Amino acid sequence: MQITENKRGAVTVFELDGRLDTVTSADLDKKIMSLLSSGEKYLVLDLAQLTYVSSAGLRVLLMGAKKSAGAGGRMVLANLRDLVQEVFDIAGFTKIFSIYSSQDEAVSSF
Amino acid sequence: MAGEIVNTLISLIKSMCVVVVVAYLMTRSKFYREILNKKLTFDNLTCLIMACGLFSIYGTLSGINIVGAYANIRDLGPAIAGLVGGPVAGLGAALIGAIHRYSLGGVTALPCALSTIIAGLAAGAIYKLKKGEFIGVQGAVLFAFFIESLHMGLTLLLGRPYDQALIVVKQVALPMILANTLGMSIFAFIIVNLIKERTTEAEKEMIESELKVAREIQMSIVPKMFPPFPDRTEFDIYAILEPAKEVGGDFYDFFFLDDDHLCLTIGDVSGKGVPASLFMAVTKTLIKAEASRASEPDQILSIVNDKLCLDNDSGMFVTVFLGVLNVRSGVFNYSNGGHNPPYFVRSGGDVEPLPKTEGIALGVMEEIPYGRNTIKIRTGDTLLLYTDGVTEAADKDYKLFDEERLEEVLRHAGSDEPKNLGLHLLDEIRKFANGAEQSDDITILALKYLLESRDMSMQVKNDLSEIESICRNVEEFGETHQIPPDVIFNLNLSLEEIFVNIVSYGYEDENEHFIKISMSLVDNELIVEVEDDGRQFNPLELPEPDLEQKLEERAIGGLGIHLVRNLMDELDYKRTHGKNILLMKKKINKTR
Repeated sequence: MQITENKRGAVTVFELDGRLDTVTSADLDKKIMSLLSSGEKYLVLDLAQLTYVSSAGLRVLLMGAKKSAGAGGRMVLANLRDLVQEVFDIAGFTKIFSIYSSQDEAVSSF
Repeated sequence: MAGEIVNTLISLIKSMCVVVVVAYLMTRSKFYREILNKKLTFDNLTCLIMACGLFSIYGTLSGINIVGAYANIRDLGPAIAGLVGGPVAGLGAALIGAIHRYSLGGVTALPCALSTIIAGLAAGAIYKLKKGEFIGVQGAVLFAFFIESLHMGLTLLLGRPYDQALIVVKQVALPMILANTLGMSIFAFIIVNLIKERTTEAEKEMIESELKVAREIQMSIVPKMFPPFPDRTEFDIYAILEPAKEVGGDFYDFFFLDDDHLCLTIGDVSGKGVPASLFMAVTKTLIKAEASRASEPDQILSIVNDKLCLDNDSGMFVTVFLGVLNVRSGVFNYSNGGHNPPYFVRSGGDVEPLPKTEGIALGVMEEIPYGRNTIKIRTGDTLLLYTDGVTEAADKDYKLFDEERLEEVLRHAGSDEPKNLGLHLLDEIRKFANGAEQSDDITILALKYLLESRDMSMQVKNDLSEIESICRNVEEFGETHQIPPDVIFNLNLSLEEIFVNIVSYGYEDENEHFIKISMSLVDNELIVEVEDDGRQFNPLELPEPDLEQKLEERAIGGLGIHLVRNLMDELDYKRTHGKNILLMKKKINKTR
């Protein structure tokens, strides 16, 4: 999975491309952790090119959200594809995450 | 005196030669054949009367002069006519000869004419007595003897003046009697020969028609219409039965037991001719009847065997191979009663005979145990059933076609359409035989399985890196069977969750283990099975996560199985033989 990092003002945007499964979720976890430890705490994950997510990915997202909230920041999501959205619904994550329908909207929410 | 005897003898021989020629020509003619068959039409009789009448005249004209009197064979013609054609023919020929003789006049005119007529009538009487059967050589010769003796007697009785008649008789009696009996024996011999010939021909025809009957029985019984099930696209089937000159009792049959099960059978009866073809018909009928009741091949053979053993005085037996193909799944159950094991030609090109099963030919003894075996036929595989007429086809040096050549042909042409394969194999056999006579029936039955295999199975190591490979296989399977993308997504997700659970929690050691994943699509339902040999672990027993908890309180674990439960329609776990087996089902609505 490719993670493309961009800075938009105070907000960091991670664009995810590919699958977020048990193997690739470790990469995302590392990147989020290193971002938070560098001081940044406003994070948007743009999932427009994310084709797949499994429970391991969900766990990493949950961890990321908790950690950034704990650091006084926020982690939000944007552009969930249908199938990914469905997984979020089943897992009950739609309730606990802020999900936006575009990157701009997500960035403006900060 | 001696010179005269010699002359007489020579003239006699000449006459006999004429008799031979006339006899031969007459008996080879069409009209005579019909007379021999007792077909006495007006035309035939006319021909006979004319021929014999003219011959009678010839007899008069070719008479041998013996001291002024003529020894002749005038009576022969009418005698023959009467013996083979009856009183009418005899009288007719006699009248022609008699009237001619009488018109020549002379001392013996009246007795000669009269005895000619008597010869014809008497011969006709004998015909009637024998009811049209020819009297035979001895009888004919005896008859000629008596007629000529009578002729001499009449000459003495009626010849005027008496003393001249006496002289004539003294001189011609011996040669006349001799000539006529000799001539008659020649005629009779040729006629009897002809009759023998006709009898032999009739016998030959009877044998041939018996063979024809046997072949008709055989050919009318086996299915000959191809393609036999035009609307069934799961398979393609073709069969060939080339009977030997003398029917060898081969048979084949195929029929549906129900919508999904096709029964295939092939067999070879010991023996030849009509008895073999009748036994074959009985066997085939019993098989079909029994197959409708018992559906396992070994049961069918067992019951048919017992039935054939009853009332089997002829001691014949039959080798039978019988199999039942589930056309939806490709599972093939079969049993074999002493028959050549069919060949299994895989779509990759491997050729091998089906594994043997217990059992001998049917009809030998009751209560024989028959075994059964099961194989799985895949798309593109072909089954080739055959009889020993194929492998035992011989060339002029008595070399046999044999299994090796058959396997060669199958290796090259085994993936062809069954019809092409069958015809090609037959062609190869004929080329091999190279003109040698076919001694046994040649039977070939080929079935090619066409249904796309709707299942897949894979084995993966207990390593998370295998997720990629699982995903790839699932996508391939999905593409092949046009499964909608959301179902593929759900399937991939479910498999990943299950797989990760097994890898993470299933093993207490650091060893390599294999996890088997198989899936099949049956009636728009996806059925997936995951099997591992780890410790007993039922993922369905994990507690459900509390979805109402807020972000801060949500636990990290427990999500995987929760997802699987929601994405799949049915989940089932069982532990058996040291393995965890998880079954997942999902119905597919293709209209999405």
